[in-house]
This record gives sequence, structure tokens and C-alpha cells, in this order.
Amino acid sequence: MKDLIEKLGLDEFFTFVAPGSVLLGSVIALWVDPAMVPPGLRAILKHPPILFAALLLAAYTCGHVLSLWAEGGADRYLTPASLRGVRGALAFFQGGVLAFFHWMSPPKHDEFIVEAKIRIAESLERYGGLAGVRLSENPLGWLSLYRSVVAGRPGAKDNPLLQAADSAHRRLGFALGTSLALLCVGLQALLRFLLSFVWQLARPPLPALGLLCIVGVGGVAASFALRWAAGRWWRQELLLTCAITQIDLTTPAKP
Amino acid sequence: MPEDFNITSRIERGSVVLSVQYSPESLRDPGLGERLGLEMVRLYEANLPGPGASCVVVIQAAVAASVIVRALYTLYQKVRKQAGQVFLVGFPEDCMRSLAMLGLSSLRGFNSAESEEQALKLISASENR
Repeated sequence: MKDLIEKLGLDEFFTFVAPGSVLLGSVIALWVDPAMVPPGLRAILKHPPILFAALLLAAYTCGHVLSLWAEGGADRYLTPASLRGVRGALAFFQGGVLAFFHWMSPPKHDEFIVEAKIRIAESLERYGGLAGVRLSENPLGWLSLYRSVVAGRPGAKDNPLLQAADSAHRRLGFALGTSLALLCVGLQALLRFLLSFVWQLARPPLPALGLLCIVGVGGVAASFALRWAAGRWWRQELLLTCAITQIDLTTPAKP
Repeated sequence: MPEDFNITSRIERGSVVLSVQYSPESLRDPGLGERLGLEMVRLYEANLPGPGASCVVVIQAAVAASVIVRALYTLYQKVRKQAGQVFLVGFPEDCMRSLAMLGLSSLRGFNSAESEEQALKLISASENR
């Protein structure tokens, strides 16, 4: 199954194209008026292969932006306010905004996890110099970097723990990107609802108001639910990677 | 063989204060963490004024690496066995985030303070509670 995913690029599909498609689809459905599409562009849209390729590229690009935003935002949300360099009311406001867009439940630390994380930092320093400990500042990415180092060891590639941790990381990436896309969909729908209901702005043509409400509230709720799931996947990835540190596969092999 | 670090210890208001110095070059030695940790534990035990004594670690260096985190964790385990707390002072600002992400600063009984005086005040406050 893993080979199939690698061959077909489904990993990329779920991590980037799926969230990107959700966001792109919502923008087109909620804001683009078909009557306002220029005739030149309309002629191009009549060719399905070109249309498909353009949409795929746009969705892939959107997905990458979403993924970077989701990871960067989660990273910032998880950094204590004192280390973000903000204080007082600004810290409170920034914390609120970050929580709304990037709340997730980080894995709790106990002595087993801390000890394993120190081993990971030490292993990365053996390979990457003194930057090893600084790599932990990217909490969502450094575990997979460590696993890449481990995977280079003979016989390690088929280690079931490694495969399970990679799988959890893929789910985490999907959940983070899609949750942000769903939040954007929900916010757009609510904005569209306000524009039409409160300010009576009906251009471009509106979907049913009830549907907008459902999409708005449902998008925000689904986003929080997915972020809760992302927290679970992250914990699973962390525990599995910590378990890998018990089997020291990173020591360079003797010739 | 001379050690590539220097630790001085003293007792201050019922807590052990360890001042640690090391050179940036010494951080490249993967065995430093274990040696430094064991030496800090030895000095903590040697100066232990009584059960439950806390330990203030003052880092006098501009850089840190995982070997330093390893040493701090070794000390932390010992101090927690004595039901004390570890207070970290002067850890390089650039590496504070790494310390938080590695989870050491979220462990019960591991704290940071801006100065040795503040750390000692916090220890007194927690003991009087």
C-alpha cells in the first residue's frame, strides 16, 4: 500500500491537492460570477485537459501555501508568548487569533518523551552539527527529519514503527492543511452571508442563505474537529518516533 | 586530562547553586553531556544541605547544544529524586525555544528564572506555600 501511495503520489495529493482543492473550490463557488468570466478565458475553459491541468496546478499551489501557513501558525501557537517576544494586551490578542486559526492539543511531555527527544536532538547533531538542537524548533517537521536519518540505516526501512510513524505524519499533514482550508471555507461563507443579509450586497449571485449559514458554521466546526484529530496523530507520531529512539539505528555502521 | 568545562558550587539560602562555564568548541564533544551531568550531580550531592534541596543552575555561556540539555536532564532526575526543583538561569536566549520544544521546561519541577536572585526568591516562595 505504501509503495502504491509513493508511486501514485497520493501522499502529495492528500497533503497538498486535497486541501488546496477545498479552498479553491470554495473561492470559485462563493465569489466568482460565471457571467463575469471574460470570453477569452471562457474559450480556454472549454478544453477539459487544459482546465483540469490549470485547476490541479492552482489547487497544488494553494495546498502548499495552506500547508506552510498551517505549520507556521501551529508552530507559533505552540510557542509560549514570552518567547514570541510579545507582552500584555498584544500577547493576549495575538494568542486569541492564533488559537482561533491554529489551536491544537500538543502532546503532553513526560520523562520518557523528554529523554527520547534529547536522544533525537543528539542523533541529529551527530549528523548535522550543532544545529541539531535548534531543529527541534520546528516541532512538526523535525521528527520526520530524524526518521529520514534512521531510514538510511541498513534494514531500517522495513521497520514497522518507522512506517507507522510516517503514516501518522501523513495524516497529521492532511489534517492540518484541510482544517485550515475548512476554516477558510467557513469564514468565507459567513462573510458572504453577512454581505448579503446585512448589507444587501447580492453580486455575485448568492447561494441560499441557509446553505451559507450551514457551510459557515459547519466549516469552522469541522476545522476544530480536524485539529483535535491532528493533535492525536501528532501524539501518535511522537510516541512511535520516541519508541524508535530505543533502538539506536542512527549510529553509523561499522565497515 | 583537563575538563573542558568548569563548575563552581555553593549553598545559598538552603539551595545548591551551580555556576557552569564551557567553551563553544566543547559542545562538539558528544560525551560532554554525560560528563557534565554527572559532575553537576556529584556537586549537588556533595553540597546537599538537606532533603528536598533545590538547585539553581547558572549557565555562563552564549551557546548551548543537546549535550547541555542532556546534562541538565541528568541533574533534573537526581534533584527530583530528592523532591527538589531545578531553576535554570542564563540559558542562551536563542536556545530557550529549543528547550521548550524538547519538553524539559514543561516537566514538573523544572523552571527558568531571569536571575539567581529571582530563582532563590521563587524557591523560598514555593517552600513557604
